[in-house]
Amino acid sequence: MHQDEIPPGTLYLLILKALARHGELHGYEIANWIEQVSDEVLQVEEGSLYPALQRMLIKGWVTAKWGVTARNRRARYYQLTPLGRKQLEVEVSQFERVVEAITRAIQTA
Amino acid sequence: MNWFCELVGRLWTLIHRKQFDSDLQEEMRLHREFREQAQIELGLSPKEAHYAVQRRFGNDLVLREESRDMWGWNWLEHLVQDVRYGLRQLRRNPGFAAVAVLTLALGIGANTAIFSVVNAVLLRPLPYTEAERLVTLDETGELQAGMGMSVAYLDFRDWQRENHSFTQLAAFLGDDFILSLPEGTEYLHGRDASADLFSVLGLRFALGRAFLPEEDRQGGRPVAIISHHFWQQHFNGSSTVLGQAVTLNDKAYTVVGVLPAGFRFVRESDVYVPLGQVDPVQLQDRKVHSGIFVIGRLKPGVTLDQARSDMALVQGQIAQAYPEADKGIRATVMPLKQYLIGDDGRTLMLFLVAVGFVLLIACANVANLMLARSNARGREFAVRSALAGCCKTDDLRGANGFSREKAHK
Repeated sequence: MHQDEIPPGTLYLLILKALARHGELHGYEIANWIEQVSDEVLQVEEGSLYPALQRMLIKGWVTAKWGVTARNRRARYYQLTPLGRKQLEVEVSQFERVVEAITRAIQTA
Repeated sequence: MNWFCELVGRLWTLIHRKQFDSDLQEEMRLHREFREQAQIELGLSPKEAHYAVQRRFGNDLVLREESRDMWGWNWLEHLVQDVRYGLRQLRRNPGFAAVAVLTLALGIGANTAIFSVVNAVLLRPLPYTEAERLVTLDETGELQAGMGMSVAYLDFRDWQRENHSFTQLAAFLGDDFILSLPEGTEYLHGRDASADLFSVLGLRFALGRAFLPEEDRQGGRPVAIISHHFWQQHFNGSSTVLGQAVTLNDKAYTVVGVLPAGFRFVRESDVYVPLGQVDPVQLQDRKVHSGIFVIGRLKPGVTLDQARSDMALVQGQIAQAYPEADKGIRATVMPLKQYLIGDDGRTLMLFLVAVGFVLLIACANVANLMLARSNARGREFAVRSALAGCCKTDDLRGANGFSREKAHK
């Protein structure tokens, strides 16, 4: 199976979306969800996931707290803040605008 | 508000960065374990799974460093590392440290000393209201070649009446007094001052008032203004001092005012009495006189040059009217500050430049010492950069400080 790296700038969008969809996820679950929902096309590099999460914490888009997994392991769960929810809308509309533009560009005969 | 939230977030990570770091480490370890578990479920042996995940993750330290980068405090951590490294080096070579510190301390000390004098003398304004508008006036001629204290009282009175450039002109004369006390006598330095002297300087009296015009003439009531110091010393700062008498040169003067604390003009004086009451022999001759010191306050908007040409005109008329006494005598106007500082200003600036060079030389000496030492430490640098696994010469920190960042790259 061929795997693509996530285009730069859209990782925030995907993380925000994952959290909006599921409420509370830890890092591995976020990566997993993105891979599964994209039929394994998108691959989340740990090398970008954790820096991105740190940045989002500082921006105040997400909060983190320690919890326990189903198998009783301590894990750090991330949650959207109201600010993060707003940011998700911004990122989605921005992404759609860009994709639309790119699509138009490549479909031009 | 967003930037504010972000700033708070950043500060938070700075304060709790140990906690943040250990949280990050733990959650990444967990991530790796999940990943390994998934690989094992796909059919890999635990060992293979471990290596596969290791490959995928890459260097754990680098990853954490990159995540920490997001907090935006790396520059601070590097700064702290550099300072620590510097302190370590200084401790290891106390002799070198002492020489370097002493050299710089001498250079900086000399500069501070001279600058504090320059600041007090040249940069800070004189301690009078709108002191930049204060000027001194003088007469120069063949006989009167001195600086200050050479104006004839009658000329001064004419200037006061005829000029168009000054809100006020005032004059004084240094004088010595013998103060009579029940227990004996005391020598005092004092002044004979014209009525406007205190208002020209923009002074606020601690107590009482200035001289009245009718007191500033022959036959006026004998009144005195005393300094704050004199007031404290002889009247214990009592507010009942006004109206009391002091005996100066065997004559009783009534105290009408007390000057504010710390007031001095050219020098400190204990008592002031009206200039107009001084022995007429000293004042009433234009040609042979005691010579008084004149200061003035320029009217708002009047420049020094305008005042000078105005005074040239006024003095010209006086010279015509009294050719015998005033022929060839010109009036000069000079900013008070320039008069008080004189040539010392240039000398001080010269000093400042000189000590500036001393500091530069001190810096050059320390730089030389460092250079000599880094030559001797060539081997050490080589070992450090080898251990740090980095040979970039453009970043000395890597070679110098065993920085965490470089240590694992």
